[in-house]
Amino acid sequence: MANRSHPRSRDLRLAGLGMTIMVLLLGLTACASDSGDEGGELRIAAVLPLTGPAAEIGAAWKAGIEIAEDVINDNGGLTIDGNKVDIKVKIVDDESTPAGAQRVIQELLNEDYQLFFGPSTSANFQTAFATLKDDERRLVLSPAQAAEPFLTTGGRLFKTQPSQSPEALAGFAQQFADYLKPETVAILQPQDPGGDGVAQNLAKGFEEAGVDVVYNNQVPADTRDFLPIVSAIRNTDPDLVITPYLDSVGGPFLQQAAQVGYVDTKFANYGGSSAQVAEAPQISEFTYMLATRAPDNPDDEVLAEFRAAYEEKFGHAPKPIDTYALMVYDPILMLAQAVEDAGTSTDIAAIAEALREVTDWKGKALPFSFDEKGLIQLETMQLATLRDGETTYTDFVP
Amino acid sequence: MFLEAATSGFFLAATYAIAAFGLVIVFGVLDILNFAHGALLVLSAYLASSLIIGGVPYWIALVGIVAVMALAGMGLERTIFRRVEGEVIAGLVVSIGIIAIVDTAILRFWGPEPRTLPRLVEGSVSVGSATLPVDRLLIIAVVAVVLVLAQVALTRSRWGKVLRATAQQQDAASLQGIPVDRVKTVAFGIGTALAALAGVVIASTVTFDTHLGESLVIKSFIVIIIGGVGSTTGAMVGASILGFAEAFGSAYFGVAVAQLIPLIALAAVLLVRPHGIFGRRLERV
Amino acid sequence: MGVLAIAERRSTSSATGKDLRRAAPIVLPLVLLVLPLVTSSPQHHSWVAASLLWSLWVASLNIVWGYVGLLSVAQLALGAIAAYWVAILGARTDTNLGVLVVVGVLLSMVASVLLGAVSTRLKGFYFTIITIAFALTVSTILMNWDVAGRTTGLMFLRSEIPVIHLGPYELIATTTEGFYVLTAIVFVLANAIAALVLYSRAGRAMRAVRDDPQLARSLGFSPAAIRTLAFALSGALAGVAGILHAYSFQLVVPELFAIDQALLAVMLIVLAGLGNVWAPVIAGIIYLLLYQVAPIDGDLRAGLLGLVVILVILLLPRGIVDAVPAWRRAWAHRAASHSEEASA
Repeated sequence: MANRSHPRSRDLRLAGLGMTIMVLLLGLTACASDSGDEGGELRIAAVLPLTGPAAEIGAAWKAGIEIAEDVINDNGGLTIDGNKVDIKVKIVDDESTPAGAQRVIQELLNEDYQLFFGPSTSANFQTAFATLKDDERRLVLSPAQAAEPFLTTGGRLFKTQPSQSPEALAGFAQQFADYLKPETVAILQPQDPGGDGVAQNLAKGFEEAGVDVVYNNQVPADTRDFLPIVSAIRNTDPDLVITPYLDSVGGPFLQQAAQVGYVDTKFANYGGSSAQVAEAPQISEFTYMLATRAPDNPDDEVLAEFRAAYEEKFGHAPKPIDTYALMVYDPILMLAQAVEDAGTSTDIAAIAEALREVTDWKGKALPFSFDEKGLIQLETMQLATLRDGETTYTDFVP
Repeated sequence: MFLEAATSGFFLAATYAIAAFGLVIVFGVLDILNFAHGALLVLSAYLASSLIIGGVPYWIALVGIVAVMALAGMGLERTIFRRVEGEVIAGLVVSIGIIAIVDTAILRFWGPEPRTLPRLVEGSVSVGSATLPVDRLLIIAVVAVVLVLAQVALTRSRWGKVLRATAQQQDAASLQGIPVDRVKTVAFGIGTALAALAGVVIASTVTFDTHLGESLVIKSFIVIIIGGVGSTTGAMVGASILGFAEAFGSAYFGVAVAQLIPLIALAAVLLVRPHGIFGRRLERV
Repeated sequence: MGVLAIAERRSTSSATGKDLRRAAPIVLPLVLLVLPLVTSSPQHHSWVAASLLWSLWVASLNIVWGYVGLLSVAQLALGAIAAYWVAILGARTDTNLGVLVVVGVLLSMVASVLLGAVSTRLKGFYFTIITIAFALTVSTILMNWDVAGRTTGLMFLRSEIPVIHLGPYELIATTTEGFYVLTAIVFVLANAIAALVLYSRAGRAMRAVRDDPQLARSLGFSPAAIRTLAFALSGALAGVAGILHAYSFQLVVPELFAIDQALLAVMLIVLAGLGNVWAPVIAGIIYLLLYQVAPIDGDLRAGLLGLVVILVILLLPRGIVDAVPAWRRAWAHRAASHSEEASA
């Protein structure tokens, strides 16, 4: 940097500016964070990606948590050991970065939270859980794929999304193969932890099912120009194209595919939703797999109560992305039920034990259960096929 | 597939060229590597999206935003970049600060979700066995025309000569009576205007968010280095090389290869001919 | 300029004063070691540990940019080399962790020296562009390499660090407090080494080469050799920082070492005082206040930092540290003129 001399009074003013900024920051730090320990509440901490690339998903998680809270609190709360107690979930933003996750976890530990939901993204979960896993006073629920390897029998970690292990994903590929009967398949996924797993394991599953994988590529998640990719895929002439698991990548991909008239192949998706084809109505057939059930299906009796609660709270029907809201809704209610069953909000081992046994709870939407390793189970999943503007839903056993 | 890859190549080349052109002018005249070029480009895209969704016709929005950003650019030059003039690295750091501010503003006003604009022109044409989208062909044509006009203006017109004189030898230019300070401000304004044009144009064809700025500015730098810092012809040649390499790489060899190509090209140029294809020879340190 | 710039800056204070001034940046950080006695809150330990990491990154960058005069955004990528080396081999072999760490740091050092070798041929900002290309290449390779875990990365648990015996004290790096102590010790040592080098003849030689290579050559310094030393030291610091950085999050993942992280280091050092021996400490304080303690929204933080950086560059091009001597000078000037008035 250049050596420059300044007039002295200017130095003073500017030094003052610098000092003022520092003092302001110091002043901000003087504001103590609330400890939130108001007795008579069951406190749960939820670490969500409220900002950053997964913000939309984070908002859906948040919605699900808020509905669950209402379901309990508006109906008399929980009864723990004779006392009536409301449930209060503190939602914090991990900013979709490991540094953010680390910071909020320390903040939550400082406030002595014991029950955690999230983080939901891979790197953040790994960072957060590394801090929590040896602490016997903490219980963690997370939907993250990265949680699965950490599950142990009788442990304090619970995975709230059905298995995404290599075997499970291979099974999904088999499901697509059975349902859509392709001879060749092209796979496109984003270049991130989720995409890695989905691409590799779906490919393996398809191969095992006797389907030829003629194209398998991962694109940077911020790719804008999909035309060369559409070209390349089209050139291999697959019967089935598996679109990226993120709607934010799959949407532009399909939009550009539609633009060049590549609409008559079968498109299928695991991990995303019908939002991907919203801007590409010319796509003739789009099948997507739901880990749970479609919350935006107005004819689904199973989710009627959930839909009603959602509409009452937010003033509109659930959207496709609210499959994430649905995925957190029941687990939070199950946790609350487990606390009630165990009769304690502080004995983590007892709560964990109770959580593995929970079979019914207030506001139940889907028939979930946790196995002895803490992995959530659901008997049926759904395939939804959008064709000619109509969606048909098929339940299947994974 | 060849034709489709070639069209993609042209489109990417046009995108990179128009993004880099503004950067070259700013660097040539002011010696400033404006990293924030990409952020201003994306800001223009977001502004365009708000206007167009609000009902303003596309071309009016385009002209309006380009004009506003040109003024904003001139303002930035007068207030901020004027102070770090001549110090390339200081200018770089300042521009990094500007990126942070612009990105934060975008996130606050428009939120984190990627945006899409309604297509300029729907549909596609069939050429042989290939299907090519019309809006991209249109964009390629428009950008090509703009770039040719800009290049001609730079080399033939009086203003162009003034700009180039200032770029080459500031003191000599000032001795000849050229209002060097004003030229610099205008040059920055032109650079920002081109960034705005690039932003609005690109926004109408792809889904975008703040990452578009980062990736484009890095590509622009690579383009400039390959083509030769300070040379607009070089920028266009470099953009073409990069655009076609990426498009064909992606279509025939896969995405991972396409990602590495720009980096390999950059390394090759830096090691073999650091001043780029059309650049002037550099002084040794 | 010229010879005067290369010579030691004459100080008006006494010899003892000067020694104190020079020892301060080395001795003061020792305070960090007693932090656990002052507060037992793991949150505080975590805050300061995270900040010390950025002090380390800034220390590395300070040598390349502050003393050699070349802006590099490759520091994080250099650190990634060491971190990934330890993570990959640690998972796949039974090699002693200490050996892996030492070799990892050496690898970062070598990579840094190679990068530096390119710099001798080109103008300053070209080097910066090369470091951008280097960082991007490292990122791209890591994201596509199965062994490195691609975008998922690899776990890098602190529980793998053996108990370190320091006299009677057992340092268990698994706990937040233990990891903090480890980071603090590493920082104190690294900072001391960096400061001592900067005070030494080698440090003066670096500044000479930065300001006027021709003159430096005529004085008998070899710019190439000096630069190599600087890049080696900077690379070693980066390697150490990279490994600790990974242990801090207990995973290695490409996004931890990406260019946007490197840009944070750039902004921090500008605020802390580029080329100043206090820069690492000040940078740590700034990071602590802005990124750990202050309850600001994530989006706003970066924008705020950018704003302050621009203001500082425009108004105080040598960073906040310079404000203090300037302030004192202005104060003394004012006091002198007051006393003149009074006696008039």
